[in-house]
Order: sequence, then C-alpha cells, then structure tokens
Amino acid sequence: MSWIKKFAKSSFRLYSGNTISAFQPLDFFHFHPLWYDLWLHRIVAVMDNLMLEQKHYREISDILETPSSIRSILQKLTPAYKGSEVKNIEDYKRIASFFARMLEESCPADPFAELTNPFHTTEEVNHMLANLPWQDANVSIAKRLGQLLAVAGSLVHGQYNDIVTDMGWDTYGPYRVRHQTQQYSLLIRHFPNLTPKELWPEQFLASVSDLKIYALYQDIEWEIAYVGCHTIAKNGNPVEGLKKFTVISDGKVLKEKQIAALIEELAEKAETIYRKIRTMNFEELKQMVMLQECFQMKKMFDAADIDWRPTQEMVDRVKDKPLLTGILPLGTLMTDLEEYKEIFGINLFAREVLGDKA
Amino acid sequence: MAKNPKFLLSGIGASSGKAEGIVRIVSNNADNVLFHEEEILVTKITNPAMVSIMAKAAAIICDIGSLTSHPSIVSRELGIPCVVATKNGTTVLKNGMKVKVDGTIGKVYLIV
Repeated sequence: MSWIKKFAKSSFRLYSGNTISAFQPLDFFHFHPLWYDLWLHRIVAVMDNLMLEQKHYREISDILETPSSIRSILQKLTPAYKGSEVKNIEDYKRIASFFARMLEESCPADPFAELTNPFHTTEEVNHMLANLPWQDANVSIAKRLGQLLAVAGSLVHGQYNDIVTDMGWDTYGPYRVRHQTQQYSLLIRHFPNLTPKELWPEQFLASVSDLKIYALYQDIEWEIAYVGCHTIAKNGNPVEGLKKFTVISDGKVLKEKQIAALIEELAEKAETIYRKIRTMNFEELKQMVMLQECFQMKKMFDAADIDWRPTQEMVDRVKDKPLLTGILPLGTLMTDLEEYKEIFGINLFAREVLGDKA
Repeated sequence: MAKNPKFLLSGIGASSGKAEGIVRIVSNNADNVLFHEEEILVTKITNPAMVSIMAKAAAIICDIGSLTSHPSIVSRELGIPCVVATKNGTTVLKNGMKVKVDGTIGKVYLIV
C-alpha cells in the first residue's frame, strides 16, 4: 500500500468531526500557496546539496525536527499544491517522498501516527525505565504537571503559533511497559526548543531550552492522532492515572519547587508573547508566519550552508497580498475520509504528483 | 451532579470529562481578568495570554475552535472538560450562571 493511503487515513483523524478554522495568528492554508513553490524549490536544492535522498534517517536525524513536525510538513503539502498557481510537480514529489520515507524509517511501527508516535526502540524505552530517576506521583503533582504542560504548550503556541507547533512540542509513545512488577503506559512529552532566538527577542524566550516530561500512567488509554500535541486520553483521568514521573530540563532533573517556578515563568512568557502578537498588523503577521514556516528546515539548510530564511522573492510575493480564498471550506464539519481526501487535495496530489491513488 | 440540568448549547467535545461551575466570560483582548478557581471559562477562543486563567478553570467553553486548536490541546493536558465550536456560547451564557459542562459529548447544561 502506498504511503499516501496510510497518510490520508492517519491525518484524517486530526480533522474527523472537526471544522478547520480558528488558526492563529492567520489561516496558513490560504497563505502558504502564495509562496510555497519558491520555498519548496529551495528545499530541493538543499536535498540535492546534502544528497538526502540517498541517506537513511539514522544518518541525518540530527538535521531533522521531531516526527510530528515532519508529519505536519506532509500535511501542509497537499492543500498547498491544491491552492498554488505554480505546481512544480517534481519538487512536491521529491519532498513528499523524502519526508514520508523519513517517517517510515524513524517510526516504523506507526509512521503516520494513526494511534501512536513510536519514536523510540524497545531498547531505548527499557533504558529510560531503568535509568531515569522516577518519582512517585499524587493528585497534587499530577495537577502541577498538567499546568506545566499547559503553560509550556501555550508558550510554544506563542513562539510557533499554529504554524509549526509540532517543532516546539511532540509526544512520544504511548509505550506499554513493565516497571518494578507493574504495567504502565509511558508517555514522553517533549518541548525541544523553548528558546527559538531566531524567531523572537530574548524577553520571549524561556530560561530553559529543552524540556522533557516522562510520565507513567495506569488505568488510562492514550492515543496520539497524527501529531504529538494531539494526544487524547480515551478513558480514565490523567490526573488520577499518573503514577510516576520525572521532569528533565536541559539535562537536569527538576524538583517540585523548580517545577512550580518554571510554571510561573512559562505562563508569564506565554502571555507576554501573545500580547506582542496581538499588536502585529497583517503584513507583520505574514512575515512572521513565513519565517516560522522556514525555520522548521533551519538545521537542514544550515548543514548545506544555505540561508534558511525567506528570500526577498518570497517576501515580495506576499507583500500587500490578501490571503487566498476557497482552497479549504473552513466551516465545514468533516466526517468522511473520502470527503477529507478531496477537500485537502490528497486525491489530486496522489494522482498528479505521485501517479498513485489515495 | 445537578438534578435538573437544562440543555443550553452544544459543540465539539474537545476534552472529555464533566465539571460544574460558575460561568465567567472573558474577552479575547482582556488583561488582568479577575478569575476564580473552579469557574467555567467562556470565551470566543483561548490564546496563550489566557494560560493562567485556563490553569484555574474547571472547564472551558469556546465559540470557535477544533480538536487541534489551543483550548482543546491545553484542556486535555490540564485534564479538564472542554467544549469548542459552540458558535454562540459567549452570548447564550451569562456571567454568574451555574452550568454543567460535558466535554465527552460536547454539551453544556444550565443547573437549575
């Protein structure tokens, strides 16, 4: 079965029973097609420069973002192709095929996260269980961790908005594990870059960069639908179900007081950054969104010694232009996979770009 | 739970669970809002500037949004019920109303 079929089925879970609306700070589905062809052409140049299509994920994992971030890249390609005037088919095909393969190699058990985001091998999971300094949880600390997740997630929503949220936030697992005679579900929440200094001045960056929250749950069934920030408790209560945890930021284990202090700091930063965003006009927002979108390829571009930032041509392409309209029906409730594939241009992409059928 | 809940509005159940509390409507541009623990946050759509309020809320109700938007994601992590895409929650609900929020089925009831 072609990857596009699995991709369609998994990514549909992101929108099933939903309307696609309320994107912040602007509707990128109707913005990206204005300039995407120029950016994709640059990505292909980087892929050629580094000969990425000849390399396995393991060889280049250090220049790629989180698996959910890669899924998000794929998820934007099909509506961008549908809405773009310039349909550089070869660029779309090579980029989509490359990133789909990266997912198949990094998360072979569930590449498109239909139910899980299995980024770690069994050996890696066992190593974590044996070596992390697990602490016993209670309702109070579980609520604290919920607050930490909420404020870190909100800061990510400020720094990366809805544009590239997944490069600031991923969730790995759930892994069914046995630890000290008990069965658990292990979930790992990862905020890999809370200090994107290329996007924001110092006052909007956290005091810590990398934050990982390891949690062992019982009596709760988790599902991850396509991207890590879309983690859902299918049954049970996350607060009551949390049994053991450890929080590590920049390699250091945080104690409860440090967690409380971090919650306060991140909450304040999240509020401050969003207040700043609210003051930005439409032209400024478009520039910021373009910068955020390009930022997700920074490591790849840096490795090729090519400037990752938008070119003047890309900037000029969107200057004083309104958003496009009519690519996706924003208010429509999506309930059917076939309808989703049509609306998101997946059928079109499969047919015209991949020579396939979704 | 209330004995005589009266159905008020529905939307998308974005974070499962049930909660009861007093409605507090918060404007999207509001700063320094007085929000008490265990109140029900009602707004058009949450944003990162509301995160301190969200951490205190018993449940969240939004006029717009989807399973992947900010209120949905944050409420799931907080373990509190959330209903989004109610369309008119901020007009149907009034400050001080006591309501029950069912985030599993996406419904809001007035507690009589």
